[in-house]
Amino acid sequence: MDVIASVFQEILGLEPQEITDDLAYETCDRWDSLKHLEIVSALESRFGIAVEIDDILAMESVGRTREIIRTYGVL
Amino acid sequence: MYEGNPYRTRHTDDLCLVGAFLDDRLVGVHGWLPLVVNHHGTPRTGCHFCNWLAAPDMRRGSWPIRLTTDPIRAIGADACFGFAFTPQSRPILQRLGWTIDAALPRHTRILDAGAFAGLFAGQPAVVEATAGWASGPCPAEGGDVVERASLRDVDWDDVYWSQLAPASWGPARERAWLVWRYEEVPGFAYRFLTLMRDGAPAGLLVFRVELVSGTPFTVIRIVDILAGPEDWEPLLARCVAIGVAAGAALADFFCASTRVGAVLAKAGFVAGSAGQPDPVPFLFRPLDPPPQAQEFGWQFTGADPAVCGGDLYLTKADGDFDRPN
Repeated sequence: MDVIASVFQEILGLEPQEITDDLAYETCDRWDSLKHLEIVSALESRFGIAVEIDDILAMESVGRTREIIRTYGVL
Repeated sequence: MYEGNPYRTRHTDDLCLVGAFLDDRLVGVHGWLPLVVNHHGTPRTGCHFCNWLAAPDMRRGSWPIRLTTDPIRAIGADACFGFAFTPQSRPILQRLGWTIDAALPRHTRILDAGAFAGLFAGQPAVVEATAGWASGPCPAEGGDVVERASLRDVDWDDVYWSQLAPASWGPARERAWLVWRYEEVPGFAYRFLTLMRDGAPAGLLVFRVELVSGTPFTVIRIVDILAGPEDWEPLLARCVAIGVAAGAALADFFCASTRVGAVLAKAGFVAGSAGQPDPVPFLFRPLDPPPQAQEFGWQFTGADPAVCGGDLYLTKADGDFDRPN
């Protein structure tokens, strides 16, 4: 499991096999707004980056989050 | 879906409400009051957050956050203000760059010790906590202070923008805003004291006399003092004199500015202790026990945010706290 998946798994409290790139907040009851910001903060901490507001808003799924973090040059 | 403001004025004819629908179900609302922001004498665009609600089953991911960021961007707000955050909204807004302060500073003066003791006879802790707040003599009146029934005909904006606005920042106090807030959609009956100099207004104090429901006691609620530091004293003196003559128990003023403490103290007002609960109730309809601090916050996204801070002028009149409770 990579860093991004482990952040989601840790904060959302899901089983490892439940963390796929298709996991999206629209279909995940545990992924509320506060958890969303916890995920952002954890990713910022792990990668040493500051995520822009537009990117925070665009993190709709694990896969999309991975794409966004990649634009910061840390993956 | 965006909606305009039914209480349309020059300041509030913009969009002020966004509703989010899932199929035909309303699942989220964000409402705000558009306003002109004074940024040290320069007018900018801003808003006051009023309502931000999302259905519990829709509080997912970034969606509720988008509910507030999208419309604020749409109106191009340089600054946003708000009161009374929740455990849910506070961390979100802070992550969006808001500064949230624990308490809107309150300044309170006992006007009539007997009335004060009578008002809080059922709350001995209040009387005990304020034992050192001697009411003291009325500050000396002076200057040409005139009480007015309306501000509609007062030539105010020139003096506000040229002489008063450069010293602070926050929601602008143009005449149109004052008339809208205190005369058109008032909530209470407000009274206006203007300090005149050379035939023109140099300062303004807005207050109201509130009857504590179920009692014979009244309190003076000051909601705006717009004047240079040297002009606060005559305005406060007249207001205090009016309150004393009316037998009011106390006068209070909630204001974010860190510059107002000294002149208020000179007029006998006691500032609340930072980080400490205020010992005196502030809800009088009906009289409530001492409340929690009145949290307030702001975000400035325009140019030069570093200069914003202690000279923020924001009062209880900017939120819903000066509405009948």
